[in-house]
Amino acid sequence: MRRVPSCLRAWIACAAYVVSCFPALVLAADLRLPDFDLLRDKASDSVVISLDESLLGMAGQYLDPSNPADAKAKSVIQGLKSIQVRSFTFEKSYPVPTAEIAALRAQLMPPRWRQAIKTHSESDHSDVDLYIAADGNQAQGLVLIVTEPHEFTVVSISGAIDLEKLHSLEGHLGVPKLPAGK
Amino acid sequence: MSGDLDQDLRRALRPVEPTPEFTFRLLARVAKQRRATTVTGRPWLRQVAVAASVLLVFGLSWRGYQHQQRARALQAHAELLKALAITSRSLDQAYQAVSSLDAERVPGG
Repeated sequence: MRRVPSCLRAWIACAAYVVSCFPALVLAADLRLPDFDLLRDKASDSVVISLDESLLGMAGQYLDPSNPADAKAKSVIQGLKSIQVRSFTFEKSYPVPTAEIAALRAQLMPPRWRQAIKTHSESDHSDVDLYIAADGNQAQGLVLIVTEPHEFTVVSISGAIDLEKLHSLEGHLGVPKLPAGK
Repeated sequence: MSGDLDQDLRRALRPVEPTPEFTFRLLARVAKQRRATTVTGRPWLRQVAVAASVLLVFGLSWRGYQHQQRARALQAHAELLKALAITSRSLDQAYQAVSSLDAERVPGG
């Protein structure tokens, strides 16, 4: 039997590894959220948070399992790869960053992404867009774009997402529980 | 005869002050020998000193790194709670928007 050269074997092993990891790499590929610098300059309150897997792990170490809110948060972040949040609050109306939103939407294309919710309220002057990337029945990515008269929020989460658990955080972590109907 | 001997001995054994040059050379030689004895007598001493210095530098660096990591983790913890709060609130807005649209579509709903 012919011996395969060792360098060729190394290449084959590398290629096999990359091919085997390809679906995971595609799913793990994070979106690039714009920084919305112009909005940040005009906002009265701005939140820009980017937590990758290692930072999520570090943060998780400080969640106290005996505290119900922390325990819930810990169960939510299990399996997550990243959380990115851009949230800006304004005292007056603000220019909606259409170019940045368009650049973000350009990344949210099928077949990986599908738009789960798109609402526009004329009375509230608000828009809510929810995009989901699913792998089978498991959500692997989520992007929320909420545009309101005095607030603009974009949230991007990647990894194994449990929407029920995520939504159940309402009322915990200092988030006031909103009334059931409007 | 015995008187001469006595005088010779007294002259030979009379106290003589050393010259400053002699004193300087003597003290320099004593110091040099002491240094040589210290190093050659305990050759491991220098290695122990180097090892202790390395350990000290490593320990201080590690402690600084741990301190930095803890600060990063605490900041990440605070950011995580804030991010989850904003996410939960935004998701709730999405649910509310959908439910209010449904209510508008259903007559009398």
